[in-house]
Amino acid sequence: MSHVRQQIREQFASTITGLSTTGSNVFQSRVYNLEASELPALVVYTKSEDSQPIVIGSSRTLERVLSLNVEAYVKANSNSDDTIDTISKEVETAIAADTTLNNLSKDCYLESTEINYNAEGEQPVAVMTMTYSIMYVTSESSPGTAL
Amino acid sequence: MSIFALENESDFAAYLDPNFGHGITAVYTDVSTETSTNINVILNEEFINQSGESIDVESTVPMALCRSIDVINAVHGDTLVVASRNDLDGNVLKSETTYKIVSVQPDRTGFTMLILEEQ
Repeated sequence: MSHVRQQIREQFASTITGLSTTGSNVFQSRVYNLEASELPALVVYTKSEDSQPIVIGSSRTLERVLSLNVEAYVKANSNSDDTIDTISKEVETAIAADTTLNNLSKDCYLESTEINYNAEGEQPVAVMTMTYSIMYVTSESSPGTAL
Repeated sequence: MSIFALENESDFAAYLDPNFGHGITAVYTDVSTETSTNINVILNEEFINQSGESIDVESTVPMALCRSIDVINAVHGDTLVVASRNDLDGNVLKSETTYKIVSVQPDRTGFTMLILEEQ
């Protein structure tokens, strides 16, 4: 069984695949740059997590708070701000419909959103980072099973 | 032009000549007066990675080098339609493209660089 963090990332990516604006352009932990044919796109990262024991003893239980980032990329010479907001609406709606992420998490909510623009290239690029806080619980000895 | 100039407008025109220089034909349009002018430019589209967050977006920076006297009134928002770029066999590398001017950078010696946004 894979780590619950991996299961959450895959479930999250699955939930936001097929949305009206970004369609199948959804990637996980992508490290290579995006090309024009892959835009607009969503990229999901799980880069940081805090954890603490909530049940002590020989077999401890860990409460984990995962910070999951969804980055949206849009390249257009007009209305990229509107497109970014549309993507935001679609992602938020999709995730709000399943805040337990198929029973992997106790809760999941949008913690922050940041939007930036870049006009270095032939068309402006808009980038939005949505940070989701996802709380889930595992035993210390079995991180592949969500409790 | 300064009497000390080593090159003149004719030399500049030779650099931009589509047949014997490095240029390509284009139509510059002053949007405020809706007047169009046929000019020659050297189009440069250098590859860059446009900064994103965790990753970047592959892109190019279209820039047109022009004689300053051809684009003396150029301002942001004017347009430049650049002819298709073909290889020696006539195959189209990039079809005719319309750009919006987003920056005007005269070098004070006779040339002006136009920074472009692809439409």
